[in-house]
Amino acid sequence: MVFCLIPILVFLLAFFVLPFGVMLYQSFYLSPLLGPESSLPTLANYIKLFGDAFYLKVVLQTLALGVVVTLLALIIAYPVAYLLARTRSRQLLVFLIISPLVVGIVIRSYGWMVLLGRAGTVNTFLQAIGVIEHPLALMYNWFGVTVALTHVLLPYMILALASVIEGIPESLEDAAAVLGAGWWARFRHVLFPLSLEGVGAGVTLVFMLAIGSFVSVLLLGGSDTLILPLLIYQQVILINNNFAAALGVYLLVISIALLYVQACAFRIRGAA
Amino acid sequence: MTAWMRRNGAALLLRLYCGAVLLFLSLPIIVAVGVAFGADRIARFPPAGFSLRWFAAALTEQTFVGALYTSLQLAALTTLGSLLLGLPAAVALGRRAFPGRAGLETLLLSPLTMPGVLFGISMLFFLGASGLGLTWWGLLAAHVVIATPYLLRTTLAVYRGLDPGLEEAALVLGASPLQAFRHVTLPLLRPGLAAGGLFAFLTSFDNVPVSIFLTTAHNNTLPVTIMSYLVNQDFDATVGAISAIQVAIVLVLLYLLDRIYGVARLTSPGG
Repeated sequence: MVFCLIPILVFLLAFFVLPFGVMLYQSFYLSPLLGPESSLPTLANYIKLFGDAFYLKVVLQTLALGVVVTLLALIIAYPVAYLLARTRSRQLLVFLIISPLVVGIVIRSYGWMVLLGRAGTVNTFLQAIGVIEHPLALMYNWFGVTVALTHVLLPYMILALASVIEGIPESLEDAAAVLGAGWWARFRHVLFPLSLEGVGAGVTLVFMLAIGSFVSVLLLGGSDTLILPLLIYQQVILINNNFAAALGVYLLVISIALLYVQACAFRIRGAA
Repeated sequence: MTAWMRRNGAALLLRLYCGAVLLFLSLPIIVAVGVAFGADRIARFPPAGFSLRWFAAALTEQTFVGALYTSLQLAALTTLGSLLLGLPAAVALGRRAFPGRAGLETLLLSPLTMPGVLFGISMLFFLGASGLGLTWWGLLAAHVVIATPYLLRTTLAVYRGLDPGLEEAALVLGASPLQAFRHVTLPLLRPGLAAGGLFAFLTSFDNVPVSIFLTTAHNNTLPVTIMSYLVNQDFDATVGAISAIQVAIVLVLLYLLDRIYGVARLTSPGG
């Protein structure tokens, strides 16, 4: 039976593993356009990356955006995940949560652009009811990026949380309620501790996706909302492929480190 | 206030809150589709007036029609590719444990967790370095890589949920392993294959982060084309109309997926 795995393994080796190898390899060279000295391996790309405060700032912005979006998604998603896990007729609910995922980021970003533009729906509405006099800058800045990215990643968080909350017996909550625990105490001392596994999985997934996303950031961000994936895209557009490769390796290392930390955290919890 | 009222008050509040979040989730989609029905060339929501002329405009615009065709073709072949690679893999991984199975499964599903932009540029560099160049085939290979894990996951979930006794019964009754697979296992795997195939199709059809690095003027996909309009801050209503068409295709497929397999299962951690 194991021979059935050969096609997929060969395919992934050729078109998944090897491309990452090429990226790693290219990150140690300079552009061949620079002349003969570029045929020797060099750390120049990494020296540039770690030696310049600008790139450090981009990385910090990437991580900060990841933290903010992940926290927002966690707080917004938790009650929805709870309802989803505790409802019997969940067909429609799941459909509504999944459909944004499959509609695609570009179209959702288009919707946000129409909503958040200077003459967009939100500004027009706020001006009509007299809350504001001049249109607010709601996109081409961090605000627009945060809204759009939270929107993109929220379904992942809801689903990760719901799948774990589902496994927590409702009787535990009832028992706590009978013993006089209010909703906050039930959440704080029963539900939340038992759902930590889902919180861990959701937080890791959303954070990984947030620091790796660039479509929403490219469309709803402005000149100052530079994060690592967008910087990579810009470097490719500028045909600085070798530097883009070094940035890619950097992002890859951060992502793998995150997965490793999550795996360790689970192993510790599993052993305890 | 009685305890009963307090309890129901809280339940009502939870429902209202969830309604608001669901509205937030669907709002940009409603808006993107809604602008297509406006009479104005400028995209605004709610639309001013009602008109279907932007659909006519979008469907006569060669850029969009060509891109839609490329995307449909690419998604269909991606689905076929993921079936050819994913089904044998699911059969190999499904039943019998062997050393390294868990690790192998993680490896085969790892394209799911990889940021698209990283795979996109890696593939770009690879196609350049290997001399294969930016062709339609390179784009297809990349889409098969990101779509196959979905098919593998749903098929594995269905396979592991089957009663092994059914296959054994066929073997006891004299069927060869191949016959047992062909007449017993394969028909039972159909929901997993159909759901995984639909998800593979959708994954390819929506993709931007990988496609954007691998498409050229000759093989632009629909989402990449829409994206280039948006980057140029050109939100005219034709873009809305072609977006609405894409949304319609995607939602019909999602509905089919739900009927065949249940989207709730598709997203559960084991599924």
